[in-house]
Amino acid sequence: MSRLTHRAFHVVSLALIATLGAACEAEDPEVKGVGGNGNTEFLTCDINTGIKDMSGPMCMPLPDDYTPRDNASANDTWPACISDQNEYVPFDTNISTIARVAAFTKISEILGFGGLKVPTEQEFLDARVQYSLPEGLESRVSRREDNHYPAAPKLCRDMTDEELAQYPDRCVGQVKIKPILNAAFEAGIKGEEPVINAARIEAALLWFFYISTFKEANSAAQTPVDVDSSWAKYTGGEPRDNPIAFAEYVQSRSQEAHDRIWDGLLAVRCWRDLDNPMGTAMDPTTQARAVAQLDRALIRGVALILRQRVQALSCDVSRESVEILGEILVREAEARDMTQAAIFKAEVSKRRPDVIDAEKLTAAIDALFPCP
Amino acid sequence: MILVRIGIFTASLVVLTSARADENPPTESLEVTIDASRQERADKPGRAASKVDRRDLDERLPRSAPDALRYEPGVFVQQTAHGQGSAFIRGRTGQQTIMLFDGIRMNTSLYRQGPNQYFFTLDARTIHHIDVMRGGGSTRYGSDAIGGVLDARPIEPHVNLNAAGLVVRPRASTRFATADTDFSHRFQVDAQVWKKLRVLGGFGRRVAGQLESGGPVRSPLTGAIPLVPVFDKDGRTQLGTGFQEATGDVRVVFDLPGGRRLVGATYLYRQYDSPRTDQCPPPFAPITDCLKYDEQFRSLAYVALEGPFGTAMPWGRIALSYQRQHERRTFDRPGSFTKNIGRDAVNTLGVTANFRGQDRRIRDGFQVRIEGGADAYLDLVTSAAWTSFTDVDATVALSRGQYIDGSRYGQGGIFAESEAILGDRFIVRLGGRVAFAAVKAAADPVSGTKPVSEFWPIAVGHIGAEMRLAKPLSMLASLDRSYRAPNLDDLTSRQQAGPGFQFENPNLEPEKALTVESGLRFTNALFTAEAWGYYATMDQAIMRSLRTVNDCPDETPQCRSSWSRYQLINALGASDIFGFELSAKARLPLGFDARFAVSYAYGDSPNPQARPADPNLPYIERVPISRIPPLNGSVEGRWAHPLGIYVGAGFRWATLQDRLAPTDLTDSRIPQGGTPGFIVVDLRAGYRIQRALAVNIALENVSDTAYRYHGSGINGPGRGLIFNIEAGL
Repeated sequence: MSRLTHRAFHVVSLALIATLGAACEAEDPEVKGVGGNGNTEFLTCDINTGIKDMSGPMCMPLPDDYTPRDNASANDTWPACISDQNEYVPFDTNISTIARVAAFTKISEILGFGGLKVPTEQEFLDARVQYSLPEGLESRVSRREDNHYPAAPKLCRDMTDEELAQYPDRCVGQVKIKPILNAAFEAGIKGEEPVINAARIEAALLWFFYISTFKEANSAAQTPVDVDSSWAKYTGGEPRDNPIAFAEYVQSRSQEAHDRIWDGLLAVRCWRDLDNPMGTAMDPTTQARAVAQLDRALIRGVALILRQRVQALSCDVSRESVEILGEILVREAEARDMTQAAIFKAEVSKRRPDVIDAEKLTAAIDALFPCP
Repeated sequence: MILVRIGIFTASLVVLTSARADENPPTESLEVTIDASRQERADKPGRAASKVDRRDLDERLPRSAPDALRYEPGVFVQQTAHGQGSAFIRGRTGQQTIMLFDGIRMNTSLYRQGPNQYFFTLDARTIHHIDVMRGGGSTRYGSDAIGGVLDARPIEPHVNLNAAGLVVRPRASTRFATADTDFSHRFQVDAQVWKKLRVLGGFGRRVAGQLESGGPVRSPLTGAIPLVPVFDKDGRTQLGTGFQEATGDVRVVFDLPGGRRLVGATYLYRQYDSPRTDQCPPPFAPITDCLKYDEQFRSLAYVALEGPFGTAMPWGRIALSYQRQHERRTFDRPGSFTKNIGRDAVNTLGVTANFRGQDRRIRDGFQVRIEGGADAYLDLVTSAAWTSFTDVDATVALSRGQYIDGSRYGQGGIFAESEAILGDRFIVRLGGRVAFAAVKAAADPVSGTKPVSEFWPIAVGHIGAEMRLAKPLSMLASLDRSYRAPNLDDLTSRQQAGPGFQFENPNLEPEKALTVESGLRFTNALFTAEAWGYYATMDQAIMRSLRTVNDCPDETPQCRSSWSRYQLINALGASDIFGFELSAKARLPLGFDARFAVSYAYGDSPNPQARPADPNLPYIERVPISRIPPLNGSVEGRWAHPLGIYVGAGFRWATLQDRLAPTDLTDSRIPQGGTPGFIVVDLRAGYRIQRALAVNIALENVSDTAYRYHGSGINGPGRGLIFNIEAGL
């Protein structure tokens, strides 16, 4: 045998040994918790103190509104439909959104949203696990588009970071909401300003639920079961008289606003019942009526949460809600009244709670977002 | 990078060419010689079977072991991802078919419902041939052999009877494919240390880039592009493709007195960074989200004693084997700094014993042969899962992985088969197996997982007959009873599958299939043709049933938050597949030869959903079986010159498959309304100077057709070249 073949034999032998050696499995990830002493502390300042019904004078529905609470819709302009009994009838009883609302409730318990709790680092980590479950809240925040803004040339999910930056309002999930959540969870896990970061998580998730309720009502034209998702984003799958999550936030501040949102959800369900319920919708006019009714009510609901947080600005942490919930409403404010919107925008943008003029801001909210 | 690779290959060729200069010109054929002492069990007498041999592998230039099966009758290869592939045999795949390597069972108790990636973990360059048997084979092969059997046989060290001392034959090969910039190499040394001891060792490396297709496949109903796969800006390159591979193998053969031999072998397969295309990104998720198999490893080691064991037993084989299948997955969501990590491994210890008795002439015109054996396999499972947050460097361990850590699964049996030749026209074959399967998995109260402890005794068998109608023409028929015992995946796993979230059912029972098949076989020196028809009916078929959110196990929010959720159930009623296969091979004058194959399967099963309480709601009693292939086939033509040149073409086609199971309707991989049909043409050419040098070229998908094999998560490659060069002594 030649020297060269000897060499080749040795090379292959060494390479094989190297292959075997390099073929080891990677180590399991090291389980790493977080710092902190794990003791729960409590605050003395509660941003939910004094929550009361802020409904104000009884609202008068618009002539085009669907009014199932009024004599089973007999007195409105809508034809008879599945919602007339003032009950929501789902397309499909399997509504995956309910699990995501349940995750919000769980996060709320862990972080003590709006309560007196100072969440620990570990509690932030536990909350983030709930937020990040596969097919959970994070997955939907990531893909959420705000249908109040014109569609981008392609879906936000398919965009690069540079492309996303050109459509911050439409691609609100990835560009605006997720960064708030990422930063708040990170800071909370590091033990930085836990109460403030919990408040930011709360407000960002409420933002998500608001635009999702609206978005699903829009996409229901193509996918009928999205009506169920819209309903569940607000209600968590619970009936009108047992509000949880987003619905509870609204109902505790205004029974009327809560009822008007429910009416809007039933209007959307009614439209989809009347409009080719098993296929693609063909009546954009009725859809627009229903969705507009729903959105007016939702905006009023968000405005009342904001209004209550403005009242609670004596708690510094309330400013986080004011800033984030305020941003949600700027677009609608500008569409309604530029003068009031300027006041509104100036106040909610202030970085320090002690410089926010609560009276002025409350007046602007009342002017801009009357009962729906 | 490509230049570096070309440099590596050129250097290896230089080494080999220099080495060759010192040797006498080779005279042996390129094909690796199989030991004369080895009992070849390639043929499956009396059954519908085919074989992919080394020449097919060299000329078709498949991307993987499953890819090598695309031209076989009755076989339809689905690809969930670029680095995965699963062969449907007679409409069944994955855990309903059995895969063997050198007679050692590859199937483990973690094989999941539907297609799986494990046949991909064979390095096609270590395979000498693949036997494909269609139809039930549990009598010989045990559990899972319902749809068919894939038996890959490895290349063997070369025997040189004239050499007295050490003979070393190095060999190198490199392949490049343009559609996925797939660069792969293998270096191999085939050494005869002395006449009784031979060693074949090799290692390989492969880097495949993103796969370019002929473009998107559209829904036949709406014209819409399915959500899976996601394309790059060019509208052709598929995101969620590309992977890396490393392989190594050593096979030692030691001849013993009496014609027996001892074989010791190990085969390592290491796949890295292989995305699951339909989850990279998942439908509707940001394009940066990706589920990737960071590691997909298989290690197989075995020793086998084989050869004659006395005059009464002219051939036998006893093998002890160890296989480790390991996978590590990461679902990476960089936009949220989150990684969901899972790691599962199964260690399988196996022992098999097979023998073939001597042909015994009972009296004139009546000859009997008996074969038999026993086998047992024990699976030991480890499984874990974590959620990791990269921005805060925190990792949380979950209470359970995809499986229950520490689960065990045992199975085995004994079997006997006999063949009786009656006169010169009639052969009867029959056999039976007594088998068992046993499982033990602990509870996990945190996730609401119940414990499993079951033992199933099983008996199956088959009977067949072959009648020679004329010298080249035979008629065959057989009746086979095969089974699959529920495995750990069925009984304990929780996972996000293609159609939705699947959770366990600890109360499953074995599924049992009865297959009736009949065929005609014409064989002479120039022409072989077969026609088979079959009907396979399965009792208690294990299938996915849609579940409501209320059915989800406790503490499993992923189940509730998924769009669809499933549980495996035993179907109430028969699950049937019937179909036919036509195939022919012809050796034509002037160096031409041709082949063709056509296959069809039609399957339906009881509707796994309960009838709705409201009688006015629509309900159908029987529904299509998931991902049954459409009518499909292939034609191959080839011309070869004795000097070693060949030129050929292959046509593959499939019709629209619009018979969809309920689970197919929620599967993003299947376009709305079904998967369109296609015709794809590949051209091939090559030149071979015996063992010294071989060059193979394939121009795949000449017409740049956008096509997808039904149920696949990726489209087939667009027009591209595959170039292979191989040199050695």
